[in-house]
Amino acid sequence: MPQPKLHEIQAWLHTFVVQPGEQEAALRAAEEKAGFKAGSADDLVLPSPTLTPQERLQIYRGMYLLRMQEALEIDFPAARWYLGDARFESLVASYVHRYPSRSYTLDHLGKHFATFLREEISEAVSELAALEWSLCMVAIAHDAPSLSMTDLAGIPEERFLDLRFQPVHALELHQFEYNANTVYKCWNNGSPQISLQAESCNLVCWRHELKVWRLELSDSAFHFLTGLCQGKSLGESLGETIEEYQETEEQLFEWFQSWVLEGFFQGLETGPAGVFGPPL
Amino acid sequence: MVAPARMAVQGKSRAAKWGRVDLAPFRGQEAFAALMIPNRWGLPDFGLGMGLRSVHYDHVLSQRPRVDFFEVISETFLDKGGKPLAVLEEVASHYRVLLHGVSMSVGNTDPLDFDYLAKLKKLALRVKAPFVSDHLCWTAYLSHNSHDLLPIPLTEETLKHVAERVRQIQDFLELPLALENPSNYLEFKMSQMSEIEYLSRLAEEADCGLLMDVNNVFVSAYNHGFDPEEYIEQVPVERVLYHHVAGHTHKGTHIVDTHSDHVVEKVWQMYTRLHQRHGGRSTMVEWDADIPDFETVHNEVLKAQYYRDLANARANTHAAT
Repeated sequence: MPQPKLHEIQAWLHTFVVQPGEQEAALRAAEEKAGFKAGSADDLVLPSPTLTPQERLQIYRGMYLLRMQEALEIDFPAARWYLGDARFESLVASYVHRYPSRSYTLDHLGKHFATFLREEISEAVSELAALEWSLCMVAIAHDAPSLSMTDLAGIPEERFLDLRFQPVHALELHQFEYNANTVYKCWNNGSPQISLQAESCNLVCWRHELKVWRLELSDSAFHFLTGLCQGKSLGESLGETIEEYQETEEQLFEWFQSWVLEGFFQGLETGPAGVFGPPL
Repeated sequence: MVAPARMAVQGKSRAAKWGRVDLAPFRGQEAFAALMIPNRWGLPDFGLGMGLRSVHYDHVLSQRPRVDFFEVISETFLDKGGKPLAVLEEVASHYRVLLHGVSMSVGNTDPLDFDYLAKLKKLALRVKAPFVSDHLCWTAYLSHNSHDLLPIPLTEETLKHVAERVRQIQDFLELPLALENPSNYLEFKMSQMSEIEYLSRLAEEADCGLLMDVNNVFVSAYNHGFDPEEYIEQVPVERVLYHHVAGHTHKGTHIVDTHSDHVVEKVWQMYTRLHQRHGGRSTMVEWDADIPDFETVHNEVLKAQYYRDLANARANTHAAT
């Protein structure tokens, strides 16, 4: 075998390490990828005093899956609990093959896990994973100084309804069709497992003073908050919500005030749409 | 001599726990200073540190333990906010912070990831890191990251390739880069030199530093069947900026660098010999799996002082004779 180039060695070893399935099949896939002949392990790797070339290669392959497993167990503990260890492990192996890490950090490995579970299992399990992923992302989202009631106090009353608000990075809204939040709560509280079942749920996840929170919202509150986060003016969001849900203006302002206090918004726009300023 | 493990008594200061080894003829710091071989950058010995791990965040923030520095995994803090960054900023305001990365991938054949490097540079500025460190390895192929420290064939061709990348990285970061010898589980037939020869030449050709992980020398020596003491004697000490020591797991047929246990005595002996050769370098104990309480890890860190003192005493004895 002529001396291979570094990129060929890397194509070969990388393919072998990340390829799912049996070791022999992984070695064949690696040889095909790098354009090497059969018997590449013996051609390229020295035996150790105790291990064959194939056994030495397999150490890296085993560690790859373990590492992926550990990373996703940290990010999706409730999904693992719900699915069971064996099924979760098997799903992780398929997942990292379909959606391999393309980041310098394992923090992003689970980005497509909810999508994968929808493709492989069900919408219900997918929603549980989506909830967990949201908590992960909210926990590490970029910091931003949040808007306070004091910031709003300086706004002239006649311009108040024209204000548009920019949500903080650490805030995500979800409209679930299943009881993902209830199942998550069961895991979190150490309660007996219940089944995922159809039961709509609006949820906001956010970070306040370094802690991650989640809150179920009524349909009207969710509609109001979604409008604000999508850049509608306070007046537009209020009007739409009052018309559709017959909520009182006082109730909506009470919610709005609590959201400001919880640090949901980082900037506001007093002029034309499109440009947000920092807190005043 | 009292066995180090039995000397770990209660007490707050390193000196109180380990004292100084009083072996005559110890001629004091002046004599020792003359034996010190400075590193190429004149960077000081930052003392004894430990990894900043999330299970210890509350202890570190509330107790402010006496630790010379904390090492953080760079990727844990790149481009994010929330608690990790808040903890890092608080720690950096009280302690020296050293950055250790796992994704620089100096041996890769993909183009350098300047987006990653820009984030790393920003973080290094933020915590005032005197240098950054990573591994002699590659981690990704065609942007697919295995998150493993995969081995490089030790050839003239790859040496040229890696040296060029390291030069570019250092130019971009405007900081010295210390490359760590990784634990390896396989050797390529095509390799043309030993790892320590490769690292020594790389350090010269790229003008970079070395992070000499003594446990990794021990692990690779067992797995490949070379003499770890011979390796230690060949380390170009003027290039060493920093040391790691750690525990490992013996699997019978091979050793895995698990960072999940106490440092074994043989590794401490090799560490002592290195300190005897260079006279003092920053040292950090890695404990990343089955992480025990803070005090247990801290006590392991403090053992290093005993071996450093032992090395100093031996160096002075040698100089006196």
